[in-house]
Amino acid sequence: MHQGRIEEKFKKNNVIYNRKQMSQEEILAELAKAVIDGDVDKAKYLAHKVLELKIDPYKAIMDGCAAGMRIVGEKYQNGEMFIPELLYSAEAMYAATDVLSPHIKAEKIPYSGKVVIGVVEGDIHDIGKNILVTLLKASGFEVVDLGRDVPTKDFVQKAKDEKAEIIAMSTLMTTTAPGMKKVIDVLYEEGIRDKVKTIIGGAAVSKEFAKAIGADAYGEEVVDGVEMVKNLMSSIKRGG
Amino acid sequence: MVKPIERVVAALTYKDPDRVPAAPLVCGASRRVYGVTYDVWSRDPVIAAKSLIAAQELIGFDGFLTLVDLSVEPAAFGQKVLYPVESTALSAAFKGDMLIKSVDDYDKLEYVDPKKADRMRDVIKICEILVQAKGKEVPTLGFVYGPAGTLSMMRTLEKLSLDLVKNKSAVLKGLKIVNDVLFDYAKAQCETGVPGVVLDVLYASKMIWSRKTYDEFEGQLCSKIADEIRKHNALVVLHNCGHGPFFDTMISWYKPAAISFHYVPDDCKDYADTKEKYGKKTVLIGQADNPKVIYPGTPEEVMNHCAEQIKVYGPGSGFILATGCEFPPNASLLNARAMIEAAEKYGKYPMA
Repeated sequence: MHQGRIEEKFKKNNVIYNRKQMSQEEILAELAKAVIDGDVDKAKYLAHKVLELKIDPYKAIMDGCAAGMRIVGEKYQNGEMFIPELLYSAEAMYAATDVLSPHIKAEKIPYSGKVVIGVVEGDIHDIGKNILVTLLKASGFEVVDLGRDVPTKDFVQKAKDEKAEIIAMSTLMTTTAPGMKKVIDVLYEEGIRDKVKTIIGGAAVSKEFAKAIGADAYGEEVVDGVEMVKNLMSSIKRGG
Repeated sequence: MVKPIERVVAALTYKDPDRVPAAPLVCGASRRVYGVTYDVWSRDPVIAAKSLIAAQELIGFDGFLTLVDLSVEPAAFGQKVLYPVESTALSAAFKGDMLIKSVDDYDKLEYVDPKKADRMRDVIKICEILVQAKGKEVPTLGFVYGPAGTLSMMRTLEKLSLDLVKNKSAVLKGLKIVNDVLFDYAKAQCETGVPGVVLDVLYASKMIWSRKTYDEFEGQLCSKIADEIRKHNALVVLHNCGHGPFFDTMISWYKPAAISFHYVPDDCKDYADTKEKYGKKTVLIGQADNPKVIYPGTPEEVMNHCAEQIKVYGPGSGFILATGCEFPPNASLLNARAMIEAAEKYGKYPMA
């Protein structure tokens, strides 16, 4: 967007919010709303406002950006929001987190778990995976996104390097679905199958397929994927 | 002996055939019957047609579908396509090599003649061969990917979905050109004598676009293709394998003779509800589950799964047993045969 237009919007927002003298809760609620509405400029403005008012940036990400994105996920699941709206919400979330993240002290971030994610080798359809990445980040997980057409060994190597608890894989094609089993086989070969849980998703696979290849979980829809990751992380923490 | 075409016509006109017609939508999987690799099958129309005929003779299914892959239509405009040796061909747009690299590029799309265009002319040829070789016995349905889907294969669904909010007129301009070409593509398929054409309207589903967005960006354009198909006395059949398809929207725009689908419509709760709500409005084609049963299952599991569907959808006719999407290209062909056997065993008419 043109710099002049951004400044104009900032001034407009400033007038509105300075007049209101908003509380911290109100700012965070507005931030969540900006994410839900997919309003990138407003989200960015509010993120700056958070810093100006010395509100904890981590709290702003979790109670503002992530809270908004979780509602977006629910609305998408319920057929109240669709891909265009969801993508703009994601842009708004990233616009605000880009402003806030550099101001967070690393020790303040509680560790929720790390997921290595990608589309398996031979497949390049990645929109479902990309949505899941956004929703997982909104749920507080660290996500290492390997992209699409990811070679089998890369999933395992990255999980080892990053000490990730979960590998998440997706595919839209049955011709590339066997690649998921190959990743699980390599985890066994490397002797780390008990340390890394696996979750699969995508139009070509199912709960039945997940069971057949020995995956730990299956998400039928994107939002299910978030729940499955949460469940797997909980079971890991319980020692399962 | 009842021919597949008689069986399908009876189902489409709500008369009792001898049994439920069964069409496992064997397309790319047919290459394994003929003994060629996927990349060869995807690019040689004569081999593709011979493969389909060989698969029909082996498996005994009741209809051909001329779906090669979803990059046939974008290839006509110049989109680069990848041809893996043993997997479905893919648009390179998903790997970053998009024909429409920026919003300005929508304006650069040009009309192409489907009869001369790369890949489209091959599918027209497949239609011709199948109609000539088997037209009196086995119905052949043409296949056209809708304008929104086609455009997304040159831009990606993500970028197209963002563009349509902020650059609406550019997207609509691109869609108009694409639709003009698809219109003539459907017409050319009809001219081969196919009794129907399948329009793939994937974006009319709750996981992709809203009804309003769908109406504006595909419904009003693509319905002209449906009208053209009908002008040729061919049937309009819709395909939508997305989650929660908008049957009401699809019926309203296209007035289809039949809908092929994977998931229950967004306003239905299960198979029975779908039959109750839509079974008299349009013939239902489906709904054997590829990821859950057809791909990972045994022939016995496939038969049980199909028996459940026949029990719900079969009574009153107006039903063709089929997979919810193309038969998985690498699934056991015995599972395609199991669908026919399920129709023979559980799908006899008259049915209670």
